Order: sequence, then structure tokens, then C-alpha cells
Amino acid sequence: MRDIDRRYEALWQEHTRPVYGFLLQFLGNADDAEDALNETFRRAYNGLARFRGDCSEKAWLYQIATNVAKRTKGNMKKHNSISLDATGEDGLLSFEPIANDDPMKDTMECDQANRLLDLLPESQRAAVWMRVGLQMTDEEVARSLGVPTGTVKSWVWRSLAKLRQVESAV
Amino acid sequence: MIDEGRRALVEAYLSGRLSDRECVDVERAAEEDAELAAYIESELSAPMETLRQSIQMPNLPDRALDRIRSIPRRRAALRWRWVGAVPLAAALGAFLLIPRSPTLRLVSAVGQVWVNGKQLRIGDSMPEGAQIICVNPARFSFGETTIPATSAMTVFSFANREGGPTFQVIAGELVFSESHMLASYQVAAGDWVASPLGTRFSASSDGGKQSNLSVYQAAVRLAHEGKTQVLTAGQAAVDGSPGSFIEDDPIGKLEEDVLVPTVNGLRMMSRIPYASISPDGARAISSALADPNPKAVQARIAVVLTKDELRAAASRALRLALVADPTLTSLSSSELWMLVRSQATAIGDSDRGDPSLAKACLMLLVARGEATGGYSGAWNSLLDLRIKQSEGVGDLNAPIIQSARNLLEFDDAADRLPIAEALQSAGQAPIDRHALAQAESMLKTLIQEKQGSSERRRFALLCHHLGETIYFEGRKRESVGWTKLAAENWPRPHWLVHAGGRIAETNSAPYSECLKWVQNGLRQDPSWPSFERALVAMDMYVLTPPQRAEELKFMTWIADRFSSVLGAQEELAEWAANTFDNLPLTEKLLQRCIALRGDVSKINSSTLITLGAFYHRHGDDVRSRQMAAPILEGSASEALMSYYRMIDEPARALAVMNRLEEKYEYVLLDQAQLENAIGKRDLARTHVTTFLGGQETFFARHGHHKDPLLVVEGLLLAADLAETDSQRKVYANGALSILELPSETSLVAQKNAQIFRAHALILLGKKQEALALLQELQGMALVPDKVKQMKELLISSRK
Repeated sequence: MRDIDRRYEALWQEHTRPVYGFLLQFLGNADDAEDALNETFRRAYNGLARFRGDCSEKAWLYQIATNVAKRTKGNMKKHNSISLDATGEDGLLSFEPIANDDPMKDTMECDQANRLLDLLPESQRAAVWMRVGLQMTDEEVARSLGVPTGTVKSWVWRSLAKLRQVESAV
Repeated sequence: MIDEGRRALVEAYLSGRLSDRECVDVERAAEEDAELAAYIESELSAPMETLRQSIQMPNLPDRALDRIRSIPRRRAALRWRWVGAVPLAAALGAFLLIPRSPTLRLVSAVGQVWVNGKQLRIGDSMPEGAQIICVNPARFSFGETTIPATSAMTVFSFANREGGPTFQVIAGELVFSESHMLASYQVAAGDWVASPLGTRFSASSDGGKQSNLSVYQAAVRLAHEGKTQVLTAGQAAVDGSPGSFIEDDPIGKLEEDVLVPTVNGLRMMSRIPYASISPDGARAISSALADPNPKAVQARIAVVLTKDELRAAASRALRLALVADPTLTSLSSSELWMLVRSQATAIGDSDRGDPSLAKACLMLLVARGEATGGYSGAWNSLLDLRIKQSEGVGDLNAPIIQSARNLLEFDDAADRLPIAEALQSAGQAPIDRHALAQAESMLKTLIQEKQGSSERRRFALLCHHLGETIYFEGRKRESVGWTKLAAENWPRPHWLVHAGGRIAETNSAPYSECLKWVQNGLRQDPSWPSFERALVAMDMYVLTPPQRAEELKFMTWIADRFSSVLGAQEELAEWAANTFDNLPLTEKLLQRCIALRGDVSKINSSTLITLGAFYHRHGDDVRSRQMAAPILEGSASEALMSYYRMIDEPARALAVMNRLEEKYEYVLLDQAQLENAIGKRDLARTHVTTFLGGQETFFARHGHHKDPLLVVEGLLLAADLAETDSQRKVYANGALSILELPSETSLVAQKNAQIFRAHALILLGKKQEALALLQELQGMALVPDKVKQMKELLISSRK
């Protein structure tokens, strides 16, 4: 087995499930998460030879995953944003959702922590997931999301503070 | 050491009492003060731990893991090809100028996938041009497109043709869910070709007789007989001719999560894959595929699928078999008889046989000399009627019942299921009690014979038919036991939801049990018909406003999920108007219906009258008339009568009713109610008395009321119209005595019946009791206006 394949195998062994969890959290549905996971690892394999090690492999992998997720999300939005009035020449037709919010947010029976996570904005949710769920350092999260370390710290603290408020209210 | 001032500041920060600006100041201070940062971190350690524990890594399907792991291997193969191809670089250079199509690979399979007599493994690629046979659902990848094959058995091929890579659907259904558009391709079935325009659609074929194209999202370009047309979301084409609407959106058929009702609220749950073909059936198909005679393969598969009681899938295989070998020489006569019986039997829309195929098999038996005389003639006549029925020729129920009885004269136990099924289905509408009683007796005998046998699917089928027969005989609660037994022995997803629905309808078990059936069914078959049944079942337990709010969330989720299914949008627009009385939601759903139909006048008449009445209630008569216009333009109809009735115009409703050519079953009661509303009390009295006389005769003959609550309604009207106190008491007491009987109706219907009870008590002068009852009902999410009105009337009459 070549070195690159060995490294890929290690990456695959250690990170597939957590990256999938991250993508699922970010994208909200299993089908897109699975496709994005596939794309993330495809890009990782292609880029592994060029990876210079100026951050941890984990941070680098999540940087790729974040980019793929954002791109997928962009495609999803583009796809969903055709309004009823936009029946164009090619006959494209789709509908704005009736439910004002994601029904999962309101209706899923979940504990407060998960509910809190659901309510966070996309990037903040990704940061908390990486920092708390994947136990990455602030620096690794910052690198993955392409934001300053201070921003990560602020997002995580404020999210946890909200959870603390909910817990103390109960 | 953190001083008191900083401690208080941190507490204010953590408890959300600081402004955004102040929060930023605290965070900046912490960046420069490690001690402060550590203190904040320590204060947040408890919620961090809570959150950490609540985060669960989701399960990733093995096939997805395999798919990712195989990335390097696929790349390595590509590199090897490059190295080996150096001498051919020039030729390859030219080749590379041609856009290359991605490979079609097997990603997952609930059952098996076969190509050229070999079973494929996950990750394997499909050879070009070969026939691919999927036993149970499977999923393929094509570039970034995922292609699920959703039917019990799907046969298709994939080849590069002029116009690009082409999927040829031969039998079964393929779903194309395309959002990235990295690959271009086309899909063909029958004699049409479809090209996606960034879309989601499905193509299906039943093996030669008919092919369908259904567009769920965006658009598809359809080419047929030299013409090209664009089909948009919600539209469908049959044999290349557009004009129909899609009936379901199968995108979630394989893996998408499903919103299901639970006792603790709605929950998003993962899909459970369902294999229609049993493990034994799948093994038998494997052997059939290994048959050295290629002409015999589909015939053998048709037999296997028939033994698995999968009639629709068997009919597809049988059509292919008849093309390969019109005389079906590989099948024995007893196998041909089995196919005749099975294809003659239509057990429902989702899995019905094809009587014309049954007739083709019968003709082969005649040619072999294996079907002669009266017996063959009796079969021939039943099949001819079934063929006409499937073509939509008039009401053939009575001749079908007669034909089934003729077949009974030939004492062959093996034939009795299709005969019982014919008696049951033809005896349902209008109800023919003799036919149903005969079906019940035959089915019970067959069940006794099958009990303990290994043919569980056959046993389940018999139980299912018996449940339906007893249900239509009016013993609804008794029927539930058989319906459940059927689903226990053969947990077909739509049977599970059906069982949940019947439990709800008869209130024969608590909500929690009803939900268990519904959940299991929905997770395996998240189709529009299943969700519709689930919503109806849920509705039958809704008593309180919070439960109603939850029902609304479920309904809006369903409406969004099936946003291009016209039937769903029309049905749910009626729900939004009638059940939820929700103006903005009704308006949104109406707009979708108009967008899908293209014009308001083309919307289903039931939806139009419901919405017409709804807008009238909301004081918008212009909109109300606009909705009713298509019905008002037509001749006298039940729909027009209902519309006038719903907008409180009894005189017009009565005029329409008098002009109706065909009177419906409970017309006398409606007539009496309308006459009463316009002050023709004498006529109303006459008609309600006639209605009650008919109901009494029915009760004397059958020992139970056909529809107890309608009889109660009639008795209460008669009491209202009574000329003497003693008459009034007789009628009111009659109504109360029916309400005392054990009820077979849903929980909600039973609660609604309490309103009738209150009415009867008022008529009997028991006002205190009536008031107590109405007070109890007023907090419920039933028909609050009616309760409120009665209560106010009662209170004002006491004053």
C-alpha cells in the first residue's frame, strides 16, 4: 500500500463518522450529508499529497467538509428559491414551504441541548459541534471554518451561556 | 483570583443580561486575561458536558462507508489505465475531447442486483447495454446523481446512445433525483425519451403495456413521436402523452427521514427499508436467473412473484415473459392456472393483477386442452368482466357477483380466493349483504384450512380480505382483529397504516397502539396515501387545542413534502378550511392547486365547494362564488346541493335536490332538514318519519343500525318537529337509547355524539344535565361553535 493510501485509510478510519455527523448537523438531511461526505473524502484524497501540515489533518479535513457543506447548502437554497411566480420558459416550478420554520425545530421531541443546537445559526452551530462534539481546539475550529479564533470562542461561549440559562430556568 | 466585580460581570454575561456591545467587551477582556477566560470556561463546563452528552454520532450506513473507502481504489484503477495507455496517447487525446459520462455503480441494495446471471456487490459498476435486474429496492450512483430503483422488481439497462448515456426502463420504476447536474443523460421507456432539466422525476414501465413519467420537481423535456414538450412539477405522462398528474412523490422511498406522530409529539425518524420480495422469493429468483434458457427466466420469475403474492410485480414479469415466449412453454399447466387466479385478483390499487394477462394464460391452457367446458367458460366470463371493469366500463358489480357464484359450482378449493375476493370487492359498493356474507363464510373456511400452514402471506391475505368483508358488513370493531392479524403475518407498510386507521376509526385501542401501527407503516412507506391515512387516524384522537396544534404541524409538513402532488394539495386545502379554519394556509394551498391545475375551474369539485363554503363563512362572497362558479355552471348535482347547503341557502339546496336524477342513500334525512330550515315543517315531518321507518326496517332485519349517528340525527329532528310532548319524548328517548349503545366509532365521533346527547336532554327538559355536558365539551377542539351556540341558547332559555 502506498503511503498516500495508508494516510487516506487512517483518515477514513478515524474521521468518517464524525465528519458525517458534522455534515448531517450542517445540512439537516441524510441524503445530502452522505453525498457531501463522499465529496469531502474525494477532495481529501486528491489533496492529501499536497497537504503541507501547517495545521492538523483534522482541521484541514473539516475545512474541506465545511466548504463542501456550504456549497451543497448553496445549491439547496438555489434549488428551493424558485417562487410560484417564477414559472419560466423552461417551465420550472417549485413551491415555497408552507411551514414558517423547519418543523423539526418546533416539533421534534428533543432535549434542550439539541434544541439549542438546532436554533443556532449555521456557522455557530458548526463551531459548537466541532468544539464540543468533536473536542477540537478553538484554533482547529477557527481554521476549519475560516474565522478568527476569537469569533469561535465567542460563538461557543454565548451558545453555552444560553444553554446554562435554559438549565437554570428549569 | 477573580474579584467580586468581574465575577458579577461574568454572571451578567452568562445569564444574557448584557447587550451585544457589552458581551464583546467581556470577550475581549477575556482574550487578554487568561484568568478571566479560565473562570468563564469553568462556569460553562457544566452546560458543555450536558451538550457533549446529548450529541450522538449518527449511524452511517455501511454502503456509504464502503463508497468512501473505495475512492482510492477507483483512482488507482484510473492511474493504471493511464500508464498502460501511453502508446495510445494520441487516440486518447481525441477521445478525451468527447464529454465522458460517469460510470453507473451500485451503491446499496435492500435485496439483490443481477447482471448477466451474476449478482453484483456494492461499488460494482454496470456493464453497458446489459439488462440489470433489481430484486427489491436498490440505489445507484451516476456521477453525483443518485438513482433509486424503488419497485419490488426493476429491470433496466444503461447504454451510451446518440443523445448521451441512456437509461432504458423495461419494468419497474427508477427515480432520478438530480440537483448538481454534473452529468447529462436521458431516460427512455416505451417509445418516449426524457431529458432532465435539473430535476427530480421517475420513469416506470409495467413491462410493455404502459409506461409512466412523473415529474416531482422542476422540469423534464419529453420527446415522443417527433414532438418535444416540457413537463413541470406535478405533471405526468402515460405512454409519452402528457395530461395526467402525479399521485405520489417517491423521493423518500429509500432513505429520507420521515416525520411521524408519537405519543410525546411529532418526531423525525429514519426510514426503514422495506423488501416486498421475501427472502425465500429472492432465493427462488436467483435460481430462476440461473436458468440456462433465457426465454424461461421471466416466466419463472413471474411464478416466484405470484407465490410471494406480489401481483403487480408478477404481471410485469409475465408481460416480459410473453414477449420472450408467447406460448410460455417452460411453465406447467398448474403454474399457468396459478397465474390465471392470481392475475384475476385485484387486491387494491397498490398491488393489483392484470385480468387481461390472466385471460392470456387461460387461452394458453385452452390451447393445451387443459381448460375446457363450463369451467373454462365460467373463468372466461369472470375475466371478461374484470377486463371491462379495469377499463372503467360502467357498474359491473352485480354481474361480477353472479359470475363468481357460477364459478363456485365447480368444486375446486384452489379457486376460492379469487372468487371470495370478487364477491367481497363487488359486494362493497353498493353494499350487497348476501355477497359479503358468502365471502365471509368462504374466507373463514379458507383461513381454517390455512392456519398453521407455512404460507404466511396467503394466510395474511385471507385475513385481510376477511377484515374488509366484515368491515363493510357493518361490524367494524370485529373487523379490526382480522386487519391486525393480516398485518402481523405480512407487515406490508400500507396494511400497517391501514390497521392504525381502522383502530382509530373504531376507537378499539388507545392512541399509543394506533400510533405503533402508523409509525411502522409510515417509516417503510412514506408515500402520500400513507400520510393521508396517518393524518386521518391522528385526527380521530384530537380532542384538545394543543393536540389540534400538533395535527396542524403534521399537516403542513405533509403539504410541503408533497407540494407537487395535486391530489394531496386539494385534499389538504380542504383540511385547512374545514379542520383548521385557517385562512392563510387555505389560501396558500389553493394557490398551489391553481398553479398545478393551471386554472381554478379545473380543481376537483369537492375542493371547490368546500373552499366556496369556507370563504362564505369568512365573509368573502366574491371569492366564494369564484370557487363555486364551475359547479354553478353545471347541471344539478350533489356538489351544487352541498354548496348551497353549506352557505346556508336551504331553499336553493332543496330546489337542486329535487332536480337530482339519482337520489343518494340518505336523501330523505337531508330533505327533511332543508324543509325544516325553510319552515316547511309538515313536509319535513313526513320525510323524516319515512327515513326513520326505513332505518327501523333495517334494524329489524340486521339487528344493528347502519349508521347509528344518522339515525340519532333523524330522531332529534323528528323530536324537534313533534306536535306533542309525548311524541317529542319518545323520539328524544329513542335517540338517547342509541347513544347509550356501545359505539364502534372513533373517539372524536363519540365526543361529538355527546352534542346530540345534550340536544336530546334539552328536548327532555333535563337542562342542568345538558349544561354540564356542554361545559365539559366546550374546552375541546371538536366543533366549538356548535357547542357554544347550544350552550348560549340553553342559558338564555333558562333566563
